[in-house]
Parts: sequence; C-alpha cells; structure tokens
Amino acid sequence: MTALEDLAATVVQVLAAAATGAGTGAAAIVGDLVRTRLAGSGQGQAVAEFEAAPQDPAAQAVLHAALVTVFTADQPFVVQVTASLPPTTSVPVARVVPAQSNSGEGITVQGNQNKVKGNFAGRDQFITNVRNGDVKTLAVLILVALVAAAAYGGRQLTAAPAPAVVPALPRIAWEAGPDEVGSPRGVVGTVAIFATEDSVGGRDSGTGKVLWTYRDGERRNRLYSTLDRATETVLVQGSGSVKALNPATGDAIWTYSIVDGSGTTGGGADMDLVGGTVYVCGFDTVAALVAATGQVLWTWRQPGPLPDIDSVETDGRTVIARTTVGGHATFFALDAEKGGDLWSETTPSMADTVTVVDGTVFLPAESGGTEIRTAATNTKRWQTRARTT
Amino acid sequence: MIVVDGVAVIFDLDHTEGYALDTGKLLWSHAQALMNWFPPVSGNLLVTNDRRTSKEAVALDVHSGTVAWRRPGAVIGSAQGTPLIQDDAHVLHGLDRTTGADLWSLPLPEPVYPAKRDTGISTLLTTFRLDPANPSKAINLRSYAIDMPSTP
Repeated sequence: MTALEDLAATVVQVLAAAATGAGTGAAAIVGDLVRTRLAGSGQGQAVAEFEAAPQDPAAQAVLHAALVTVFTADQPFVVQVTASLPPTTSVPVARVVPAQSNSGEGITVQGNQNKVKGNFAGRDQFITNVRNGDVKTLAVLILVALVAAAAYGGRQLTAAPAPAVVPALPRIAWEAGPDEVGSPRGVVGTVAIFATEDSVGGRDSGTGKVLWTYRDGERRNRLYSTLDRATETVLVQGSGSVKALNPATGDAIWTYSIVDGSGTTGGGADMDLVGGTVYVCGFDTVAALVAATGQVLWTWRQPGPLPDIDSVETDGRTVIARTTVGGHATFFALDAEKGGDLWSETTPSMADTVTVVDGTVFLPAESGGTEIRTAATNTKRWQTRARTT
Repeated sequence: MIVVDGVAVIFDLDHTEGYALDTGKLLWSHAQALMNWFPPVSGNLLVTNDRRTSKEAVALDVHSGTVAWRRPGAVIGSAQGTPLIQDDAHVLHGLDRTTGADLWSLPLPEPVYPAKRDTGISTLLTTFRLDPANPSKAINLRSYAIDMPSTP
C-alpha cells in the first residue's frame, strides 16, 4: 500500500468512527474537508454513498478510491488532511508529506535548520532524528517529498538542489470544550492559562488536561486576570484582593488586600501591568506592587469624597486613574515611580476614556476630537479632528 | 489609536490617519476605515481588518500609509510575527507578512475570537458560534491548542 493509499485508509477509518459518534471535532473537520474537496472534483457520489452507509465495506472502498485519486492530484489537499487528522491518529512516518512551496520555483522542503515540527501523532522519534541531523531520516524526508511531488505531477523535479529548508505545518495539539473553557491568556512553561469572567485555570499545554481552577469565593465574584510573562505568574484581582498565582499549581504566591480609608476590605476594579510593576485600583485607592513579590511600592488615595476609582492605565511612566462624577469623567495622573500627583482633568462625558503610551496621553477634547498631551505635564501638543478609537 | 515607532495611527469611522506623535504633523491619510485591534506584526507593518466588513485583511506601513498587500479574510491576530487570518470557510491561514501569501492553512470548524496580542509559539485559539436564539451571544466555545510552524 502506498503512502497515499495508507492515508486514504486512515481518513476512511476516522470518518467511519465519527459516524458512530466516536469522532472528535478534528474528525468533523476532516469530514468537511473531504466532503468539500471531493464534491469539487466530481467525486461527490463517493462521499454520498459513504455517508449513506459508513460501515459498508463497499462504500468505504469507493470513498477510499476517490480519496486516492484526489490525493494523487492535489498534494496541498494531502497536507491539509494530514494536518487535520485527530492528534491520536496513528500515522506512520511514511505518510509524511512535506508542504510544497507555492512559489513556483520548484519543490522546496521548507523548515529551519533541519528542525521539523510535525503535523501528525507518533512523529516524535522521527522529528528527534531530524533534529539530531540523522542522515537516514533526512533522506527519507526528502525522498518522500520527491515521491509526493512526482505523484503531484512531477513539477520541476529536477530543480536546483533544494536548500535545507524543511517545512513545518500547523496541527491541532488538543481541543477542549464546549463552553466553560474561557479565553486563552497565554502559555507559561508547560501550562496554558485560560480565564472566564469568574475563574482562571491552568491546563497542561501538551494535552489540554485541566490542572487547576481558581475562583474568588463561593459567590464566584468577577475576576480580572493577566499574565506576567517576566515573573511567570498569573495575577488575579477579585473582590478585595489581588493575588499572584503559581501557574503550575494555581496556589497563591502572594496576596494584597484592598482596603479603603476606614479599613474595610473589598472593592477591586482594574489593574495594569508594566515592567514588573502591577498597578491596582479599588475603592478610592491606587497601589503599585512588585509583581514578583507583592511588595507595596506606594499607595495613593483620591482627594475628597468621590466615587471609587474604576480604572487604571499606565505606560510605566505615568499612571492614569479614572472616576466618574456628575456625568463627567475625572482623570488623575500620577507619577508611576513614586505615586505623586501630577495633574487631574475632567472631560465632558462619563463614558470618556484616555490612553497613555510612550509619555503621551490621548484625551477626548470638548470639540469632539482628541487632544494629544505630554503625559507628565498635561501640556497640549496637538489635536486631531477625529476621536481616537 | 496605536502608537508605532513615533507614529500615532488614528482609526476614524471612515478613514485612517497617521500623525507624527511629537508634532502632530499629518503623515498620511488612508481612505479606508480599519480596525484598531491589532498590534504591528513586525516593525512598522500593521495587519488589520477593513472596519466595515471585517472580511478583508489589509497590511499597512505605518510610516508611509501605503498598503503592502490586501486579501480576503478576517484577521484574527498573529503568532510569532506571522499574520493569521480566517476565511469564510473557517480555514485558518498563516501568511507571509511581506506579501500576504499563504504559508500554511489549517481548517477549523467555527470562527475564531480575534487575539489582540501575538499568541506565540503555542497558539491558543477559541472558536465559537452565535446562538440562533440570541445572536449577540456566543455559544459552543471550544479551545484549540495549535502547534505553530516556525516562521521562515
């Protein structure tokens, strides 16, 4: 059995399993791919017969033959299907079909300095061999590329010696869901961090297995979370506190309690992280903490009885804290290093927000445009006609 | 608004402008409304969506305002400096950032949430579909960890 016949057999097997309900999302993707591609090449009847009786050997044979025909004529489709097979699909090394350059300048085995990132399960030894510069493995890789290219139509098989650029294809390592999966925050070490409105969790980045989940109390309070790549900690702000979590375990490394002037714990509205310092607001207070240790660098309280500070933003030089009162927004600018007052400004709408970047603050102007000011001094430099979005 | 290398890119409702951050001098004006979601994929190249349709990816040089390339598809972010778009069939495409040509593609079953940051080597994506009974609600959230190819 050739590599393409073998691949076709695997696809038929995956789709037959999926028809029994044993399939995954990846199998559904393969099914969509096959359905669409075969319909576009006059082989739609093979798919229809298979879908009518997916366990019928005759229908499977028809689909298999159709797939081999299409695979032979369409190498990119081979690559696409191979990349989409479920991660647990066992695919022998002989099925490796490196991507062909679409430059029209001949077959190019792409990649980086003999480093290959595979597109199928069970490839690790093969990849290890390639990474180690194993001559036989590299030869197999190049040979398979040439065979695939020949099957594809023999286009420029005699091209100049291909540079040792080896292709790498994307593949779905794992999938999780539906629902309750949260938004990805990033990967720290071998842990993928996800967050929902009221939880943060860590998954094994290689398998997707849930390692831990953190929630703020039994009432599942709203959580703000961010990832500090410098210290490899997960920062979460819930009701009344900010915590740094160990991404491997979800355990708290440090906790900072948010208290108001009367000593009441609670609040917690926003935080921003720049250069290893996390700026936190809650109640009438803004605090700057060392992200790695939780050490308090400074705290600032807003003057007078005003509504709570509801957002904080910084470029690492100036911190802008916001509150709303009387239908307007008031912004307090603080020195990021020491927490001292720099200036304050009230803008026309309570919906107004500002942006601070590179020592420059962008403030809504009464005329409807945006004023660009020096953040440290609040000195106007210029103005746009448009509101920045 | 995005600031890149001394240029403030202002995203207006019907066009996009680039100003010198220090002086406010108008450097260029591009007669297309673009989305302000995405940071530059590399240096001064911004790859973002047409604001009106979200179905065209546009690569813009923030210094000159010139369009390096454009192609159909919704930008969903970048990984290792490689722009990522998703087409109408939900196929994810990794693009050559200088030409917009396909480097690779990977079919996904549903739309992907755009990611504001470069997602790095181990790319995590979340797909969703809209609830037919409540089109403003995303349902069937699924997360995918994708082993990304190395950038050429």
